[in-house]
Amino acid sequence: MLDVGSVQLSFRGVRALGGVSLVLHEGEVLGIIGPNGSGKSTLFNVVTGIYTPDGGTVRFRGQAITGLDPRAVVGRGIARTYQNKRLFPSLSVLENVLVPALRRERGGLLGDMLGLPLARAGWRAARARAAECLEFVGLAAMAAVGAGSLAYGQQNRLELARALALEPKLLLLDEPAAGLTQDERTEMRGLIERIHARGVSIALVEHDMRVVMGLCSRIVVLDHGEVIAVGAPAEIARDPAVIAAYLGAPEDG
Amino acid sequence: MLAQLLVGGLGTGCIYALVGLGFTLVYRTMRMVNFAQGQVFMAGTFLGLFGAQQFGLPALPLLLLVAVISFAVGMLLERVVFRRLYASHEVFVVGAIGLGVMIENGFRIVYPEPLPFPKIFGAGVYHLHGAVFQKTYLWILIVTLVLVAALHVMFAYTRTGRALRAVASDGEIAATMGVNVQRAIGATFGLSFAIAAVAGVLIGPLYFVSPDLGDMVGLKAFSAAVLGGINSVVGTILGGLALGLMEALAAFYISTDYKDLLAFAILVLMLLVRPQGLLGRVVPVKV
Amino acid sequence: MRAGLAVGIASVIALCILGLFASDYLLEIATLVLIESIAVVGLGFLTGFAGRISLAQGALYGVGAYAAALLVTRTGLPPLVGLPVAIVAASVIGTALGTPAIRLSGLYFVMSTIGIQQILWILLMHWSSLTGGPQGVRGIPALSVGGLVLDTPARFYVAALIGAVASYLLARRVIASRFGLFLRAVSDDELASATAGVAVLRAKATALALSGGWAGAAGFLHAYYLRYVHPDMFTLDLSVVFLTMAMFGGYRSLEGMLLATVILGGASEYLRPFGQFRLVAYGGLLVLSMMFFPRGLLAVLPIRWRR
Repeated sequence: MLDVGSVQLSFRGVRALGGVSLVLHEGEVLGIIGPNGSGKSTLFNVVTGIYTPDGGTVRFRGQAITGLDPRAVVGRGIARTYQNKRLFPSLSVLENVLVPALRRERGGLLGDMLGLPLARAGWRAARARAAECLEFVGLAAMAAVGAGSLAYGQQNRLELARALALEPKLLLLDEPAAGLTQDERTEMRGLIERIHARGVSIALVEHDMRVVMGLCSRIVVLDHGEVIAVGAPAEIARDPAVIAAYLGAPEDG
Repeated sequence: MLAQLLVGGLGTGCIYALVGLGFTLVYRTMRMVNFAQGQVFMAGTFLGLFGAQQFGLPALPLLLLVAVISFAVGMLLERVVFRRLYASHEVFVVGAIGLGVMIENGFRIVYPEPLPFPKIFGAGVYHLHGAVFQKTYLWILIVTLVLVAALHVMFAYTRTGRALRAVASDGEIAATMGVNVQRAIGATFGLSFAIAAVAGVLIGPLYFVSPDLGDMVGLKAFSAAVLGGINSVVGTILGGLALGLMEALAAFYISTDYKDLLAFAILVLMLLVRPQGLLGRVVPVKV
Repeated sequence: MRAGLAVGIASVIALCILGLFASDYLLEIATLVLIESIAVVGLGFLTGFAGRISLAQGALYGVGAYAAALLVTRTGLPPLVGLPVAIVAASVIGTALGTPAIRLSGLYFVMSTIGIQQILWILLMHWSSLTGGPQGVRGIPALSVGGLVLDTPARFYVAALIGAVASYLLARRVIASRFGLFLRAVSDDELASATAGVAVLRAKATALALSGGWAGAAGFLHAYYLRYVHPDMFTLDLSVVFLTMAMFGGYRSLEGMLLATVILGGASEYLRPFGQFRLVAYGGLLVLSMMFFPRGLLAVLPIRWRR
């Protein structure tokens, strides 16, 4: 479904991604792990069009999406969450989800101002979808609260709801469990499983190994902008290269 | 004729360079634009007028006095006003504009009519390659050179200068190295005020002075700084000189009416095409 | 919400009563305030909802005024045709010049608008063949709607009142629309908006177009109010006045902006005999409000009262 081919990216001479290739199959949950600074978020940024790679291609469902701007990528069916929660603080929880929910609805500024039936139907549909997403993540009761005053765990869930409202085929989750309590992590795992059960393919960047091992059928390991291992969770856990990357074992010779 | 234009252009160019330096110094340190800079320039002119008329001060002492007073005022205003405007770029810009409006209209109340400025640089006139120019132009050029050289020496070789550069580069790190950041910022504002005010005195004898001067010169100096690079000292100076020359040529060869348009067209064009200016560096933003 | 509606209706009624009983002098001040409120609301789309400062609103107001003035004095078209022309002219020019700049950061955008303001003013002043240059445009006839000629202060006041109320109601609908939502999202976090599917550049350009259109409408009324236009009416100073009113009134509060326009416009008139001191007061107000109330006047009031 997602085909990343030899993607390279450097920032002012510092190499962030050096020829990263990976494949994500339709319907799977792919884990992407690696030490801090290994390029995981950067990879997401490339796939979602925030960065244009210096080299390599990204293909989604057979079509090239390299270098498309973020909105176009969203249009192809890829949604993402951010590691550092980019919510809209001055909007309410519901409004945060309405923004993506309105994306595909008919009617625009003029339609809204004239009160056209098409526009109003669009709002109704968007509100319904937004409510459903909030219900799904368990934030329905907080709909009118300002997003800026949410607790950390709630912010994570709102971030997720926002991505879901785009009805993506592929969901990129950037450390959805970061900063959560143990209970919240279990809840988050459950949410991700349910999303997967609905037929959404998922790429998951995460540091919490329990979450990763429990959810992912395959794992890709990055280190210093390169893929150092790919495989099933059990294999990865035993792979010496992976262990070395995390523990910083001294190189031989 | 060309020589005459060049002399005139160079003269105004030096003024733009000096006032522009004021913008640059503050921008480098605070990443903010002090839009009251033009009014500071104008205030310097009137301060010089006052000193020359009331006390009959000759050129050099007058320049020094104006510089010192403006430096002090700059530090004071930073402490009292500017410090409370650092919340965001927009807040700072709008606040500075408000301050500028206050200064300009305050001076309008005291000096409602344009006034002649005493010939503090003497009434002499020079001839060079067919160009005739007042002694004032020589003073403008020399004082500009001296100021720029002095600034360079200060920044490169003195401890104060290095401290200011450190704060401009990274305030937090500078603080950990023992630099009194607050005072350095105050000194930066003081410097920018002093330089602009001195430019104001320099230009006094050339025209009738009125509070309206501040607006136009300020905006044009700003355009010049953007042209050369608002975070580059050398860029701003060259931008000022370039703008002065281009204006003089445009006024003669195209039209006097539209010569003002040049500065603003350059401003808008530069901001759209290359906001960091011809000699500036881009400051990268992390996503 | 009901409190707001009550206040709104009460205000309009009060304004109507004012129209019936006030002196000509008071009506003229009120008319000017109402006209200015339209331009300020337009600016509010940028400052409050798009999070961008613009200092070009004075010039765009001038574009609208000149469009109306030139149309009626140079062609035989009826005055009211000038309204859509003024709106479109100011909107198109504002959008054309502003869109390339609005991609830039907030600081650079402000600087660009200053450049745009000055360029437009210079063109109004020196493109004599088109605008009449330093002479301005004189002899604008009174505004006539159908058979009714609005040639008394009281009659024009009604037109201005209708205009101001319409401007407010339309603005509210704009803010309540999906565009309003997108704009607020963009001003919160542009990147997140893009990844949430918002067409960011289009939203900003639309905000520009709307603020220009509102300025144009206000300019149209200005031209028919004074019956004379001159470039010096539309300087950077005017842009500063509009900006002060927009920012003083409150970050995202249309009502706050209207209140600020009334307070500042009224106070400004009261200070008119003091000449230059009036502008000193404006400048001082601007500085002080930025120092202590950067989010605007109404941000200080308890949340219950705000929308």
